[in-house]
Amino acid sequence: MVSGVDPAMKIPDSLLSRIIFAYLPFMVYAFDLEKAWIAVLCVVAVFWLTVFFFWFTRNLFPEKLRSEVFFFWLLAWAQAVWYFTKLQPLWALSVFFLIPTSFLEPSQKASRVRVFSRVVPRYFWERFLAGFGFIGFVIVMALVQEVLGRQFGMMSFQRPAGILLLLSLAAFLWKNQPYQR
Amino acid sequence: MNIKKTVLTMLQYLFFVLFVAVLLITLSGAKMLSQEVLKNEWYRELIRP
Repeated sequence: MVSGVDPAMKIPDSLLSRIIFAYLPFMVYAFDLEKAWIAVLCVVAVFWLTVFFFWFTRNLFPEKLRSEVFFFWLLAWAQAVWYFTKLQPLWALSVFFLIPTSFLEPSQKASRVRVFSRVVPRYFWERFLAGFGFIGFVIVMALVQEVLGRQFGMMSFQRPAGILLLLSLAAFLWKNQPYQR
Repeated sequence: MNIKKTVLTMLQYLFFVLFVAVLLITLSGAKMLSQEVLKNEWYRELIRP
């Protein structure tokens, strides 16, 4: 009920597709494992904070301007992190792809769920797990890149080609889960 | 009923303006603070790309 497909963005609301989209900006950064950790923690912290903040304050903003508020909020975080860490603000795109904007769209079901209702803990729990899923995904990718690209010296894993291969492998395995109903 | 709705909408717009103002003020504060923080040699070493 609270996690519907958002037709405005044309992005399916399944977790893996969100995660893969959110991972794309990471392909631009030339991170080692340590920097990937820092960046992914930054992304997920802002993601959790954003969901928490907007769930409780969304009704305080005019309906028409909620998406713009979200955009300003994201820009402000990207700029603030740039001031302190000089990290290029591409990571804000990852937050954008992870966020279920449906609860900010007045026409969507999720936005009609009351701010304090019984489904809220479940909703937050799902977002919490999505954040952990993203951390796991990025770290696995960084590990594979580290091991195959740097330790074994496979050129394709030092470039986006190897990661694209891994992404398609992950998508293939996800689609063909043995115990999927 | 309409008056109540209009007032609520106006309050929402006011909140929006305040929110954007707070964001901008916080950002300029963050910029000043970051200039101080970036003076530390060990911190600059830490965030070196």
